[in-house]
Amino acid sequence: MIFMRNKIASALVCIYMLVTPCHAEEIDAQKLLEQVDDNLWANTKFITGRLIIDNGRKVRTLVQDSWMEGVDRSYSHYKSPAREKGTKMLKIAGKLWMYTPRTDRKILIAGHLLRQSMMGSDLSYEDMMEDHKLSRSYSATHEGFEELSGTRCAILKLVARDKKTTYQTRKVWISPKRKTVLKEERFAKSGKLLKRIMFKDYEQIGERLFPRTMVFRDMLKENTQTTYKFDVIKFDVEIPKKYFSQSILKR
Amino acid sequence: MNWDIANKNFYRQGLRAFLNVLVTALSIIALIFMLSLLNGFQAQATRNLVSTDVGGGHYRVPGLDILTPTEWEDFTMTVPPVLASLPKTDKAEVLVQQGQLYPNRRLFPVQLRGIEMDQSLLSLPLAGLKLYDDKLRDVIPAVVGVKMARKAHLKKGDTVVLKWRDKGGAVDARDVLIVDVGDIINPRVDDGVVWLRLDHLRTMTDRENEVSWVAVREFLGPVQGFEFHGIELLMSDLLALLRQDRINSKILWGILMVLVCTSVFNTQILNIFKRQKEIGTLMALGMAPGRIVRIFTLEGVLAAFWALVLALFLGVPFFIWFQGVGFDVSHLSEASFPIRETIYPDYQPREILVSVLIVFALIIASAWVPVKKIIRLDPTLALRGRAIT
Amino acid sequence: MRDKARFLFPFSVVAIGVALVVALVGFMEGVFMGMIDMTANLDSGHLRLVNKAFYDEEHLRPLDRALASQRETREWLLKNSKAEVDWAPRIRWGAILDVPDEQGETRSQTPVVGMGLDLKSPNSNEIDRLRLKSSLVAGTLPKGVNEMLMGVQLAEVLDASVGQSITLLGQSFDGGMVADNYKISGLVRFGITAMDKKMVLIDLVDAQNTFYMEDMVTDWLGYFPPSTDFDRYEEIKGSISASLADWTPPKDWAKDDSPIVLSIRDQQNIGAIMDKFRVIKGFVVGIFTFLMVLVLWNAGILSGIHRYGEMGLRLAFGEPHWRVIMTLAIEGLWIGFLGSVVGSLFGGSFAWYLQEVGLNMGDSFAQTGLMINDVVRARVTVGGFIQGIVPGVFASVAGTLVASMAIFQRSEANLFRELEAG
Repeated sequence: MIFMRNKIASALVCIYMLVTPCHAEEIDAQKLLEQVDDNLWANTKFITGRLIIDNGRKVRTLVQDSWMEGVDRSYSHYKSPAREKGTKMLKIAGKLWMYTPRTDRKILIAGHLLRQSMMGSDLSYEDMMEDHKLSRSYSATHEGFEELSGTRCAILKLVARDKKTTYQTRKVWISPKRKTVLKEERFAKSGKLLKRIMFKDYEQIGERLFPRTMVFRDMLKENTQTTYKFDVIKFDVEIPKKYFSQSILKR
Repeated sequence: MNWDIANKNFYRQGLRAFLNVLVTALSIIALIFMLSLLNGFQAQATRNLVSTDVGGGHYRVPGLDILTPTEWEDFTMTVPPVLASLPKTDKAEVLVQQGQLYPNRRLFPVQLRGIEMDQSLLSLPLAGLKLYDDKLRDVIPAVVGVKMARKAHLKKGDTVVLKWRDKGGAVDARDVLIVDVGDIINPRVDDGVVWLRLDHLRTMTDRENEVSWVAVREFLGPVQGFEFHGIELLMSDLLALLRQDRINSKILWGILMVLVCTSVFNTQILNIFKRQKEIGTLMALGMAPGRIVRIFTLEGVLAAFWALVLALFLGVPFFIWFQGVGFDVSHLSEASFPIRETIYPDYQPREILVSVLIVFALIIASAWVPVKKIIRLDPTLALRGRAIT
Repeated sequence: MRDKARFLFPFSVVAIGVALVVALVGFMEGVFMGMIDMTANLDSGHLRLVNKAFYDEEHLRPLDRALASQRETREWLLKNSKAEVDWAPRIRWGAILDVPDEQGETRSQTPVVGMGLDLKSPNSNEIDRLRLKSSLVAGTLPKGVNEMLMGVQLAEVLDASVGQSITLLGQSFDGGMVADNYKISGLVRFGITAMDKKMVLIDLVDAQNTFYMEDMVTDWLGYFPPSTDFDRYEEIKGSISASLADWTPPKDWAKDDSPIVLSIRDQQNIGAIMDKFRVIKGFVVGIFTFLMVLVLWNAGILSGIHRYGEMGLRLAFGEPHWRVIMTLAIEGLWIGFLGSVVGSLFGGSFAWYLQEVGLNMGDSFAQTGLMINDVVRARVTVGGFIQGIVPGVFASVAGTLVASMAIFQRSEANLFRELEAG
């Protein structure tokens, strides 16, 4: 019996010995988040991407060209399918306009319309509009480590600084070595998981590591997912001024 | 003198007179009963709205449109002291917000309606919610109506995810436990509505002491920052329908009246026909035809009078009894625990008075019309029973 | 027959009584029909063929669950239901309306519910069905491409007027976003606040274009002529449901498309209302019938009493009691029968008139252009006739018999004396 007790005690010591090195590897969560942001956000960016929307019954693919400047200006132009071709979206400092050739009008997407699903995807316009660097709108704490498809990730818990932020908490799985996000989860205030985003196929583009694929899932719904694939990514490109002006919103 | 003769004549008819009086009395009772039952049916529809939603009117946040869910969160306010201080019997604070339910992991947009638990102005099947306290826990208790349950495939005891936004716009979601599938007799607050405790909904949405409206027992004069919506406004659709239903009741009333008159008229004609010998005798004895007409008409009045007395005698206890038991239609409900739904006749004195007066007048008229020819009667023919053919 | 007292009075009472009951039952049915037809016409149809997947998520108006092969479906429906049912294809949709200002910038937006229905083909019954002509308060019915009828209060909220172009933002059949311009051709007053505030109507073909739903509809609504009994709805629904199992789905249908048939009872809580109304109707008709029986019976007794003298005479001549009673009963039967026939004729034609033509009470409304049914209607049913004729005949015979029972207790002399007395 005494022997048994000793065995348990020594096992506990062993576990303690194994665990302590983790604690020893201190992570500055906030700094790590900033590094991730710096990796993702460039001054200007051009992307040709495919939005693959799977609603459980049907898969639709939208092809778009997007130009982005900083976090608060972007312009997208849809190239296919035929029905969406020529549709344009312009975001300037928290305002979103849409133009469709069929109506030949620009429509303000504001207020409650922002919460609607964008083009039938798992993203809302609001999700797409997100124009804050995570490091700026959330304060991060380190929660531990986890192996994710062969990469050791630090799990950061993000808590919104502003009560008005849509998702009050998030969790991100970050590779501390490469400063890349591999997974992100968005939670309700209560802590219920709402959305999961997987970042895949990281590639070196210039000086940055950028995911070629992002997969969005609405965790409250069944069988739906939206995949964003970036076919062309260019950083620090010159963007014609007219792209960020409302005058672009016409035929 | 006329009165004595009429009186004597009337009682001498014995069984015949009694039958006439009885039928007329029963007709009057049936007429009043039917009209009152229809009124009751209509009143029930109004009462359902009043007792589940409208109360005596709403003090609403100006601009709130219940039909535009996307705007509900923009139209809430703190309850003003003048309304907050009302007794629980006289007001019900209500907060309405948009939510998204995920039964079977499919989206179902809903109206979250939080209502005070200790109010007694509105009667709703929310007893299940009262068993919980004001503290919001991981699982939120909720009640849905039968219609909503059917649509969203929910049943008592189910847990389902609910998503909503708080005041700041932050997303929140929790599990909701359906503690009851209630019988909400007003489809307007059943279809697409999830009932919650007001304190829960306020905590959920971060809207301490806020309301979309306060239902009150009666108008209390203008309240700063709120706008009063009276019953007429809140129930305009139903009232328009009921106005139309009034026309229908009038037609029903007309049909019933024709039946009553037929009965009276028929018996009276038969009476005169059979009594022409008597009339002839009276004329032969030198009684003025005008007087005979008066006597016979008086007999009619007498019949009408006794009919009324009998109707009163038989009808009042019946009406009182029926008012007590009502007309139970609860068995038609589909709820997990049906609330008792009983239709009570709604007696409207004015309508009853008018109906009775008309019946009275008709009886007198139908007593008079057949006898008025007596004036032109040939007494000899009458004596032989050949005057009226 | 020559004797007024013996024939004309009881006959006319029976006739009037039966006529009133037939008319009353028809009228009550008509009132109810008016109540539910509004729902049927706008929303549920008397019968409705809809994809189950669409019906389950109807609140979301999932256009991707619409049924394809419009033409084939119509042919199938015509073959598998009865000729009396008129099938109307509809598209239910939900969208956001965006009203531009002079510069084309968004001025106001609001979510609306919409219906696509056949407004333009010359043989469509939809315009009459929804009484669109009379409920139009401004403008005209849609004639050109992409024209829209709008609820009158919605137009107020949006600050939009006839002739204005507005943009509809919604989701297409395949889940994509659609935006299309429509011109407001007219404003309608439905008479129901929820619809006046939130409803727009567009032509079916326009809807199909806008939502990329070529050859697709979300609903097939079946309508019976007004004389049809409510039970018939269930009957036809049953037979269509049975045929559905053997239907080889058109090739354009999705694999998991499975249409179901619903009757109006199954929708909008109408079943419960129907049951409640039936109870009320039963009550009203019951009271009325009781009253009529009472009146007829009374009439029978009275005419019987009046004829005591005659009976005494006949008995005095040696006729046996049973024969006197028998002849009286046969007379009562005849009177009841003839009265019933004439009464049915009058009551039936009154109900029929209300059914086919209707009694327009519109004037009594201050408002004009209401879609709610302000025409009083009736419905002629077999049940109504039975409810009239059976008590008509019965009461007439029973009344006579009860009266004649009395003769058993009286001597011939007594009865004879009563003859003298009149």
